[in-house]
Amino acid sequence: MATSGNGGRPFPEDLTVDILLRLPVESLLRFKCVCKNWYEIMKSHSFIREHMHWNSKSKSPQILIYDHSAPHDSPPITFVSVSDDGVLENPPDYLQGFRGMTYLLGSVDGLFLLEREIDGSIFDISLSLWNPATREVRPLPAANFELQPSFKQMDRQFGFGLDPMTNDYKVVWFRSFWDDIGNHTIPRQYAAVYSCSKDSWRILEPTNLIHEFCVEAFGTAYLNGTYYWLLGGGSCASNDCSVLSFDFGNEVFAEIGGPDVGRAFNHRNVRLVLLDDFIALMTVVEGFVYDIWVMIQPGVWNKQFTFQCTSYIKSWYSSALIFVNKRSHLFSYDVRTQTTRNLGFRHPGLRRTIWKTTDGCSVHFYKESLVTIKRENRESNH
Amino acid sequence: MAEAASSTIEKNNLTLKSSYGDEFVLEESIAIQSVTIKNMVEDGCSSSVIPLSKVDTGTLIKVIEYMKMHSSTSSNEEEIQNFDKEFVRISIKTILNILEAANFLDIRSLLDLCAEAVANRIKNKTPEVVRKIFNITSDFTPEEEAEIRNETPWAFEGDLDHSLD
Repeated sequence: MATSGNGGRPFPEDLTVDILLRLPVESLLRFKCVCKNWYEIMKSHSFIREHMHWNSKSKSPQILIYDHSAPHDSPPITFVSVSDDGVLENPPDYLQGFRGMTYLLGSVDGLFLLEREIDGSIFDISLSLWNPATREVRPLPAANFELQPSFKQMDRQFGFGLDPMTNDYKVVWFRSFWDDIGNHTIPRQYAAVYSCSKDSWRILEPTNLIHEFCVEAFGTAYLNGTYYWLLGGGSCASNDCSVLSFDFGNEVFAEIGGPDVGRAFNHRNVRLVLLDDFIALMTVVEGFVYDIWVMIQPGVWNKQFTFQCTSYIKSWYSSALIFVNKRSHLFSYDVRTQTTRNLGFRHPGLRRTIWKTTDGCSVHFYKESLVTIKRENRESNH
Repeated sequence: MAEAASSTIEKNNLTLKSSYGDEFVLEESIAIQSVTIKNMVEDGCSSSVIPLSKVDTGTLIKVIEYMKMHSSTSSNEEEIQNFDKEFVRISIKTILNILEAANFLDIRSLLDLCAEAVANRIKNKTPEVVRKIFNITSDFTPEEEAEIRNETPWAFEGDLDHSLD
């Protein structure tokens, strides 16, 4: 009698959603089998987006560390929880299969892109999308670039994210090569875009925008249906730089002018970052002093922060840069609040530079999501 | 009762009536944390008793306790945080009742507190226990359920909580 409030009838659905939104992904996957109604809620695209939105504003991120030189008996991936002050979770066994990745990009909506070069061949490269929270892995089919054995790969870049028009996750991949013909060396560029819903690559028309070197961003640079890269230009120092963008909706590249900082750029000292919901550039002023230029509109830049950091910068998350101190501890420094925080993780590999493959640790931030990338269970478009 | 009401008349009191017919007198300034009650007051329905036919007495007592604490000017943030923590140290079924009342009365912060508390309490539980808590009868066949479990067997491993509360 005292519990007449919900005596024998099921709990109202709208309030159920309020509770489910606050659950971790693992609990949601377990509760899918509670009843058909709950199953449908958790499979719906709107719930998946809402859950992600809820996590992004109210949950702390997790850190994923990929150790390119992990010994054979330990998994290459470590998860660190920021909220529990660096408590390490036990990595699941299937991560052993993730050994030997040459590149890991992420996260975007809780997803990662993995690249594995087989025997350093330009022909034999396997790519996968991965959601660590649901443990789904989607191997991508091979892209049909028409490459010649005489090609030497000079650079390659990836981007991935959601095409918001079709709710389709897409991967863009562009590669540049030197082709040695006789005594000539000719640069060649290729680009392709992969769509999860079509499960195939589309070769993009060669674009002369991508002949320049791209500088690796700190963190990922996906924002509102578009991915961004910093173009480094041919020479090391020049007065301007630019940003290359790829729109996942209409699948075209565009170039955006960089800020006028009033002096020559050393392109090795500029990095693109995603500062909350803005594309930004981190430039070295002198020594260990950095400026942050925020793109407030396409091609319109505003210098918003200046700070000093003498440590080795590894990554960027939200409004914080992630650095490693001399004793290999991971720290964050928030440029808005000017606060430094020890993230409670230490690894000697953090101080090694990652050059191509095989050495050092890369640091990635993510918030778990229910986004599904499995082939048989395609997301509905509503 | 009549005397007590007249002596505090300046404070603009409201009377809330539970589904069991029990009446509770509450200052208007406290009661209008509920957007539903606030709208009633603004529409001029506050002179009479406000019937809350969807809220039982036990739940209403808890909701009033919450509103009193959260409108108190003498308590600091830490005290309120401790109060909230203690407030949800009750059975999950009771929290669900308060959650429904908070939804009906439109008290967003109480709804958030209860939803968060329920999520925390059920996150490590088994699907069987969750069904009991939410009064749900599974409409999956055993084969269908086994298939769903097989999609992510690891989510069913480890130290799961089998308790109802």
